[in-house]
Amino acid sequence: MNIGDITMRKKFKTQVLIVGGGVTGTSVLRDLTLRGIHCVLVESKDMNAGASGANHGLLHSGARYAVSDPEAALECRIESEILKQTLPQCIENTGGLFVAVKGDDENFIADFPHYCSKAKILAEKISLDHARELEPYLSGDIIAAYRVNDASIDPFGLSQQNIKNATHAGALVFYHSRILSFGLVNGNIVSASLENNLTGEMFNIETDMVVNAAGAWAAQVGHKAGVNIPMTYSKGTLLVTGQRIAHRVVNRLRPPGDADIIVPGGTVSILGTTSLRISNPDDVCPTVPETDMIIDEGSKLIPKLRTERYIRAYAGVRPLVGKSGENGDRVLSRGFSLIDHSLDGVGNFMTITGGKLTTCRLMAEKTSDLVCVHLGISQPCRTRDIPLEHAPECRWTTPGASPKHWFQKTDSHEVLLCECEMISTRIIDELSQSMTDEGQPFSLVSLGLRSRLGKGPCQGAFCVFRVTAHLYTKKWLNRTMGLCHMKDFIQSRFKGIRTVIMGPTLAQIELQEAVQCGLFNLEQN
Amino acid sequence: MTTTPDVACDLFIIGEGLAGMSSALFAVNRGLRVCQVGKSYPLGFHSGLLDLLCVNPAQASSNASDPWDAMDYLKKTNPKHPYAKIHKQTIRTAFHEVKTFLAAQGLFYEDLAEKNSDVATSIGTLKRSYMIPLSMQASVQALKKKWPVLFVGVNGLREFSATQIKETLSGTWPGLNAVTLDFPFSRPGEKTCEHLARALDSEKNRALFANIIRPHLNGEKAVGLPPILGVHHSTEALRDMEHKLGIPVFEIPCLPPSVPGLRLKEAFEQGLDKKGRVRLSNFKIDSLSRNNTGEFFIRLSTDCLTKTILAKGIVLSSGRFMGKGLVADRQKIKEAVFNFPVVQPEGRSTWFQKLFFDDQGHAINKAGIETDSFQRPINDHGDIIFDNVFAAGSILAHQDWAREKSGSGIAMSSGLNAVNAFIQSHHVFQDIRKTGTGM
Repeated sequence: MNIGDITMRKKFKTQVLIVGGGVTGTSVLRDLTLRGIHCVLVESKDMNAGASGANHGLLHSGARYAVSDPEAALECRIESEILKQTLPQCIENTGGLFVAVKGDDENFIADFPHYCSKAKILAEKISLDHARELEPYLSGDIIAAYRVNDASIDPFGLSQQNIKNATHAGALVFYHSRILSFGLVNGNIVSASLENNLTGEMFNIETDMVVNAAGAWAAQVGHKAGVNIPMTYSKGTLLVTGQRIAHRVVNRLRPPGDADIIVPGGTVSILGTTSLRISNPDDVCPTVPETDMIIDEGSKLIPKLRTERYIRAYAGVRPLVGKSGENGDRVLSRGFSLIDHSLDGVGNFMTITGGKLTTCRLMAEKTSDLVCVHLGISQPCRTRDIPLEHAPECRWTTPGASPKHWFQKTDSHEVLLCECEMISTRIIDELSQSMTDEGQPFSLVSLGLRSRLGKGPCQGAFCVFRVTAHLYTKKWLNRTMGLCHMKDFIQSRFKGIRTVIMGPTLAQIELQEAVQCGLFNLEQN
Repeated sequence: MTTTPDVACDLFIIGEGLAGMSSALFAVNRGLRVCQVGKSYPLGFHSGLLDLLCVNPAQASSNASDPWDAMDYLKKTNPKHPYAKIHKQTIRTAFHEVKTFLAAQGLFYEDLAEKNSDVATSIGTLKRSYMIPLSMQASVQALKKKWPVLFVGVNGLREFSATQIKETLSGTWPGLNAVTLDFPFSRPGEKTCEHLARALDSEKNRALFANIIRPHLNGEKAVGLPPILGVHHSTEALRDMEHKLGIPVFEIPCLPPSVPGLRLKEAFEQGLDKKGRVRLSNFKIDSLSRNNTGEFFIRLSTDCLTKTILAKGIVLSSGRFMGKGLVADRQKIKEAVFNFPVVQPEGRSTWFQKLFFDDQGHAINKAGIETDSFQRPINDHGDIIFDNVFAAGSILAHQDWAREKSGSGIAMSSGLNAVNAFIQSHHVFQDIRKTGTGM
């Protein structure tokens, strides 16, 4: 059934209402659906709009936490092994290195292998020459190197496939839908009233349980149920290079700190991060000083980063439950928090937040176990063994998928719309059809979330016009809709480019403004 | 000077954008020996519309219909703007002289009673401009009189959707229609405007194209096409298509690389070659020194050739970041050839607004070279740096051409102002054959 038809009724019923469409929420959705439990997921923005869409895309081997948090380290090791089995289509098994440079803490370097072996995590010492053979751009100043099992993962593909798998089995997903209030009876949530942010339409969901997986916005959702969740927000900024700098994940071998990792993201590398306490998780943007700090610090590990071209910066918010410790937000556990709010007086409400991308499946498992206890259902978790079915329209966020399709295409009428990422008319049509079938609101920004559109070196400056033209010709767009969509998309890309516009990127942005303002007069439309 | 130069010239012009090309034209028209260096493609990014000024600073984000009125306000509110340093008569002369020159190359331009006019763009927005190429003039009439129009797209021409133009404009312009056709005898797949335009230089192809458009006409009073009506024979191509279809035909400006820009480039190249300009395209400047008489000795090279030039004066029309006239690292903007001081905002944090389409525009766009009223770059104290070096075009500070829609006007008029200033300040040229505008 189409969601459009259901919202017409403006009222429906489910067993579990999940709030939040990031990797945690969508993993819970899939887990519960596999247990035969009916779920509805609501998300106030779009898929992976929070931290799930603003991280490194790192699948931790666990080595990063071996010293500071052995328990979390072991969880990471086990979970990354499971995901490599069940979700290979979204993972590039790159391997990783931990590398120290002159001046790094020698005690930490000495302790590192022991802690790793204690947590049963592979950390193989390799010679400095071998390290530089594996990663030729490493600094000449490296003093120690270990090989680990890190990998990179596409969080958009993960969420999208969670959703596809669950919706095929009857679950429902509403994007751009904000919880206005919860209806409580005798200390239990019985319903939620929601508003669609795009259409203003209101609707109501009756439910037996509510899972709050709203990430950095969990406290706001809790508040609507009358529950207080103490939270701390830590902003992390990351940079995307124009080309891939390293084959493997390269970690700085030192206690977790700013700009200590470079993760491959297909054709690019992602460099980060920072940790800055903020009071409000909304509207975070990277700043120029953060960008510069990341470049300066990262170039100690890989000197080439100092002169590299950056195509984008972005910032996410780490939700951390509790008050911060004295040693900064990184020390406040990166483990997850599952809170049963029966203790706060709301019987059928729980919050799952914190944690890491790597452990999202485990977080979903634990949450779903607790849901089952509440509902009196005894169904085991099945996500350890059942691979995520590879829905074809979910493959386009993974780097390399579009070029592969392009070189294998057989239809000579197919043309490329985005040359940087090799996205063709066929891919855009497939995604447009898929979103329409799901009844999801359609825009260039949401197309961008479900593909690599605008993620290449030109950041959408040209393909935005080609894709829009195609969408009109194929009648996916009509009237003046395209103007708003183009401006929203351009702004969504500009937000990321703004702090890394320097050197040759200035020429690109000048051309962009010459076309978009000088010729098309978009600023006045 | 110990070495004999390969070329001795009066004016050495750096840049092949509109500022460089029109400076070269003004100089050769006034009897100067001109040598020009640059990359050969900047005009390929030109829309083909010659803007003067559209935004009246007295009414932020407004579209001025009278550019000359808007300029009066601009001079008052932004006295450092390049236009504030140039006489209106110079600006008029620059437009007129370029127009006359282009007409002699078979490329016709017209302003409508010295006012701005609107044309529809390929994304369905309206673009206001001053001097309109012949191929877009019916567009102005069609829009003004709300004629029913058939927009025709071509399958595989990715940046142009006839349906998009129709849909976006139909709220205020009834009677529009759209059709997307297969270009005759072409293979499926990607097309570019330039390929199609070169095909339509031929009458045979135009006949085939007109034949497939004709069945879709249903009482429309004009046909709007992508900018594909010929490169070298564009006037003939336009008139012939109008004849074949029996109604006015116009081109719609589109994403670069741009065919109307390509026509400008080819017209300038051919016309200037005939007038004796020495062109050293794709050479780069290796070194530049000034002797005690003030003449510049310049070494240029390509991968396999070197040239030396002796020049009495220089026009710096090297453009901004795209043209590499300006370069920047993480913190500072520099001028690439002379390392002239660049007026610029404080640090990278202030270069750009948070919103790309912010009404105020981005501070970095107003960065550039500050000059006196003779286009001579000045330093922080307001002193002239060299009396025989002149800056023209988008490298000039205190303008934001993309927002003001003033790029072509600034390019041409600062170019003329520079050439005039060079002639005035070098009495030696007064005995050079005086041919007026030389045309």
